Amino acid sequence: MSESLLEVENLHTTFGTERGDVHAVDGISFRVEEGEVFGIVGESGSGKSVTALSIMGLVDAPGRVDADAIRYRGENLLDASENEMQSIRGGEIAMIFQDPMSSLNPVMTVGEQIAEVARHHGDYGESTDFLSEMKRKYVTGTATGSRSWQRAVELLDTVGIPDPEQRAQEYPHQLSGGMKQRVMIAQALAAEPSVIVADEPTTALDVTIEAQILDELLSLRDEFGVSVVLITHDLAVVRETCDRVAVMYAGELMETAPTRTLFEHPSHPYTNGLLKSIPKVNDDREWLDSIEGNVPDLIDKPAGCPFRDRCDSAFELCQKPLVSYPGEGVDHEVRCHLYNDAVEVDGDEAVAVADDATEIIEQRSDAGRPVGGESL
Amino acid sequence: MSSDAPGNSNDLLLRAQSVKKHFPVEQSLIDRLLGGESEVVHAVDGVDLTLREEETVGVVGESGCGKSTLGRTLARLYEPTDGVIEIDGDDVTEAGGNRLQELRKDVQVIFQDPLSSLNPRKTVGEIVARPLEAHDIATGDQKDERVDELFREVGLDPATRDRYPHEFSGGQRQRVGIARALAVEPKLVIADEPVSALDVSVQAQIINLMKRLQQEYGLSYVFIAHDLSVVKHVSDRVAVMYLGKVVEQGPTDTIFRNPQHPYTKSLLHAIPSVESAGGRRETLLQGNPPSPIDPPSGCPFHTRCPEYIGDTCENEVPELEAVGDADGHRAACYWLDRTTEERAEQDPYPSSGLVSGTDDG
Repeated sequence: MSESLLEVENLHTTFGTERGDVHAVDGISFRVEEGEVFGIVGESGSGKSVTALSIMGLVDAPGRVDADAIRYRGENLLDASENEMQSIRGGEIAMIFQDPMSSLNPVMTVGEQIAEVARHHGDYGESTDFLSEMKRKYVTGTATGSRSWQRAVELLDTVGIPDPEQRAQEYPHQLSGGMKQRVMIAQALAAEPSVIVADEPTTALDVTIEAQILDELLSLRDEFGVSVVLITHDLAVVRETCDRVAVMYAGELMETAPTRTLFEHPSHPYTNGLLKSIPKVNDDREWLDSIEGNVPDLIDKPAGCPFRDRCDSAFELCQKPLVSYPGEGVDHEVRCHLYNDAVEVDGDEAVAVADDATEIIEQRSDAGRPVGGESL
Repeated sequence: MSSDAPGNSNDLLLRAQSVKKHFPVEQSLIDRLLGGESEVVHAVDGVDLTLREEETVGVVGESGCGKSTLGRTLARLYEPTDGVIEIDGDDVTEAGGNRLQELRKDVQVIFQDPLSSLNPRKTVGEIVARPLEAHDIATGDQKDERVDELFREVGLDPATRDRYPHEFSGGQRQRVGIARALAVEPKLVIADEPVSALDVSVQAQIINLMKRLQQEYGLSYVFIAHDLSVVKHVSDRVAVMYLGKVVEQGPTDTIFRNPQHPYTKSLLHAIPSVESAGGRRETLLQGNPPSPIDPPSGCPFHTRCPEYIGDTCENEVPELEAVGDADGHRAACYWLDRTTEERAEQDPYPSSGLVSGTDDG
């Protein structure tokens, strides 16, 4: 069995608060293959951004990250020292944040910001000690003839910014939203990472600009073979960019599948509800099918399916912790007890539950294998 | 231009004629001393819009196209630089004093970000009651009853009226914003991106709520949004804006089935869809919209137009002209005069587009 590029096993991220523990991410497992675009889709508060931060080792107190393993090329990142993490972060796994204005430094030119990343992660024969960095930052700036600056200009060109020599010397506020997001991508590429974690990279942008940026991300994948973990709330973006996708709700994965399978055979009631609640250009429905109710409180979350209070198909097994069941076709996993072999289903309602249902649940949870694992 | 008003002008609720809103750009002292020319942002640059009773007109466009400014100008939250705004046949462009007070009752606004448009130091009950007080509609027990009723109407539990905005989720906050707008029983509601800050499942709830309230209260909506699928769903008619101008308007079905303006076509091609076969969208529109401080000469869209046909586009400003068979379908483009053969040669749109039947309408 070939090894996955990035594997997350049973990740829990909890934030201690005065009211109790917030289980932002509650036991999720997935893997990302080389050169793959893997989507994590969910509503706000579902824990998708926290998942990204956990992988990057960027969760601070009062947050706690517990996982069986977060493996990058077979190496468990949880055991890595802070120094090792620093070279992995950016160098191997880079991140693109949602709001480029607040993640770019407003008092440094964009070229400077990209050159800095390139210098620190690559071998450009330029000193990166504290004094020389301070001198560059406050006195001279990076010399435009230096190799790191040249690299920055080259990267701006790669991400499709016109007139890159000029643009490299501009400050973030001089660029438009789409342009800033391109700068973020250039910065992420500066250290030649193998994985880019993109957290809502196009949410702040117009559809026309969004199309350009997503196109850019995909061409970079084709050109450099980087894997992309795309975090988004927009199912349409998932449909056109991702190879595989995981649907997240209240800190847990509901369904993992190849993109096509997910849209053609959505199996989890939550996925179904989401797809039905989206207005489409070609539909003539007078009323949209909405999912009633709100996302549950993640403080002291009760065991069982977090979606059960909003689910039309909820039945007695939904009190039990979720386990994965095989869905339609290859690599499709559904975490919904409707798919338990012992449950007889009519339409989308459970009509009878055989005695061995609990046993099956226990077996599947004992197996303890990662969601999306290759053994089906 | 009364002939452009669709239907009977008696039930025309809102008519805006060549409305303009320009914002002056701040100049530094040195520039002023040197006698530099003062610049203005042409946020809204001559927009005609009509709205009948119980109708929804959707206003779409990229960010910075002036759609929010248009909404606020129509509500008289901004003073129009030029043009006429009529509500119920009454010119309110320069209304002040009591007339303006009355107008505030007839026209209400629902804002995009419910958290920043609700006072964080007031309970939601107080927020919804405030318009009732300001307009002397109800006091005492009557007021309390009315607030409870409004809460139930928008799907909130009246028992939560003593809580503060931050204690609610995004969707619930937007419900509070809707209840506040509804409190004075307005005729016209200007909804400025009311669902774009919400999650899809909640978005559907709010859209359904707004449609139900429209039927119950006989409301008219100016629905401003950048999400074309949402606009398609709620609107009877659509106006497409680009750089402060309406470039195409008409009945929703016509605009989506048979768009005429190159900008509308490009926008429709850029809609992401969960129903597509997957794969990438066509990125017909390159670059960003030009600056509204110094808009391009001629057709504002000629710098990005995939069908750009020549000097006429650069030199002359196209007017909205009737196109197609549908009532009130108008577009502003020189391209429309070209013959079918010429169009076929220049047609940059792939036939396998997301919007079926683009060319056979």
